[in-house]
Amino acid sequence: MQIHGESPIGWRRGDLLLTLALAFICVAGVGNLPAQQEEAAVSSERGALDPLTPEEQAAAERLARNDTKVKQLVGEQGVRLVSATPVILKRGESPEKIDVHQREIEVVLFRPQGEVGARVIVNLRQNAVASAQRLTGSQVPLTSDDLKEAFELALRDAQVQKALGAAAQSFHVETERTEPAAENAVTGLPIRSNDPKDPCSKHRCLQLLFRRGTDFLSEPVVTVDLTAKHVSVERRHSR
Amino acid sequence: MKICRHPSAITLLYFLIALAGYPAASQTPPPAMPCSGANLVDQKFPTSGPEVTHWRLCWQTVPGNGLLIHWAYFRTSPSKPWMFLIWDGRVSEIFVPYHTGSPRFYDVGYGFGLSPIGAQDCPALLGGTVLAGNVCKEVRDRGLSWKADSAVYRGQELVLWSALAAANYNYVMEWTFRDDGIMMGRVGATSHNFPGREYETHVHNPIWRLDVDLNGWPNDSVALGTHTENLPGPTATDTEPLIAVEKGLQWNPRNFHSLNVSDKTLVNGKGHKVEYQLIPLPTGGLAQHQEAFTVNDFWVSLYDPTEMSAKDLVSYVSPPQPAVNADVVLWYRGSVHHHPRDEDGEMVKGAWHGVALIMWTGFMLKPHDLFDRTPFYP
Repeated sequence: MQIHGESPIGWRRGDLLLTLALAFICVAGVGNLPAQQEEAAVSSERGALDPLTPEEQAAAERLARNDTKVKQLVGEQGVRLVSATPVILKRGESPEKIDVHQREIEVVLFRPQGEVGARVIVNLRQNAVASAQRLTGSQVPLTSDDLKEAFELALRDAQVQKALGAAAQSFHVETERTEPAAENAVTGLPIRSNDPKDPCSKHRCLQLLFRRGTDFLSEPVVTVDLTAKHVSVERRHSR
Repeated sequence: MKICRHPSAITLLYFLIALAGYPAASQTPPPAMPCSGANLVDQKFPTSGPEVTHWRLCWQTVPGNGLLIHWAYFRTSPSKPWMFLIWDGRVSEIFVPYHTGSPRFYDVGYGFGLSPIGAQDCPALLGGTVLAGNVCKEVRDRGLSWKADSAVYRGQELVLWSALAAANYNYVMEWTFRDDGIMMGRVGATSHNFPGREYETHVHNPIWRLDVDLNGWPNDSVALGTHTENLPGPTATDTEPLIAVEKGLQWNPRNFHSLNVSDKTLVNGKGHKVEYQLIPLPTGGLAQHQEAFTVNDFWVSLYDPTEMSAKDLVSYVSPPQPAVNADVVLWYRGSVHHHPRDEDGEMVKGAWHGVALIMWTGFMLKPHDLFDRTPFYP
């Protein structure tokens, strides 16, 4: 049979296979090209959960603040931006049905006066607010704005001034961790009491931590009740 | 009959196909993902040679919660469909009560950012890649996967981690995706003891919120995997009572308790129901505190995109809604018991000099009857 022997034009079977292989790869490659191009085009498009650009963040915040319902929830004056985060919401019954390029942003706003917040879902593609929900003060995370306020309150306290001494004014609020660590920085941790008699069982409270270089000062131990604008200093004896 | 009298040509054909990167005809295409660039991680195993298993997932960093995992898909072989596993995995809260009763910190309650990560944290020579300056991706050997006398296989894993800079503390948040389909989450507590309470014992309780959507989100159910020794007799029994409604549950190591998630429609090639089992990996123990959300170690709730805060768990399951063939969310609380020691540091001129060495707690999500046979076994 011809197929098992030499071809009429003198090709060996190995040559034939090689040619077929190359032809297959070419055809397959061409056939695959639109899919590859499509994937490249899709990957160049931003995904729903990709980090926000500064422009997207500004647009999301603006849409949230200007929304009528949001204004009803938190008002307009003195409202802080707590966070703006891309989110993806479940729709339909499977991931395949979801538009993976939807751009929805969860914006959290907070008004310290009255301690009320809002969780707002902004649809950037539609330039619209999709939903808005009221948050209580305890549901809103504290931010560097709260830390700044707490530190300003603490610096006015005589006990804090005495404990920090001449270096008091050299401390500054650490908004993000830097390398090398900044000298004389203040950070804070949210604290909540279990004692119903303690205002910090309900109020927004921060405990301040004072860092000198890489080491944290053991004293003073300062708790700031942001709701009541009250500062308390605890003196403790180390081991 | 000889199939081929020119093996070199066939070899060349295979070589060329491999060189061209052309996928096998039966390979399932990758699913569309809601992320791109560095935020999209696509990892096949083994890392060299033909693919056996494959993970595809998104990560995101969020102030407070740190490193989140979204849309984790796994495939047991190139010819099998991609299986959706995780919609969203995150550390919802890290609750830190001190032994004297106060302070009691909620470390995710402040929008802390992440510590910078560089080549020292995440060395390329050890398989590390720094992503976005604060996330490390490591692809590495994980030791023995199995051994049968002289036959052996060393496994591999993909690890994503970042470190939440929570004032005096760093919380290392780690997500591991193994070649055998196991997914793990860990939190490691390290850095400076709390100023003013440097010598006081305390517990770090990370609470994970795991939106496990096996094969998509509808039709999932959760059972409590339970081992019982029929004492005083010699036998033992395994049961899987269904968790019919939203609730919290306590983990008992003697019962090997696990939360077993299954999907009504998902079976493996042998027709067996596929499960992913949430198994605690505690280091030493699990604490319970006065706060109601710490009374239970496991919680099962229905999906609600506004229910993200572990400290509100009791309200999320009250009144309890039916949770069978539903879109369920699992919660698990681990504990790190930190009894200060001299290795943590020392007081020098009124400031604490030194750091607590890292202490871990975590869990694993382990497949059961996902593969049709032993993975990576010839």
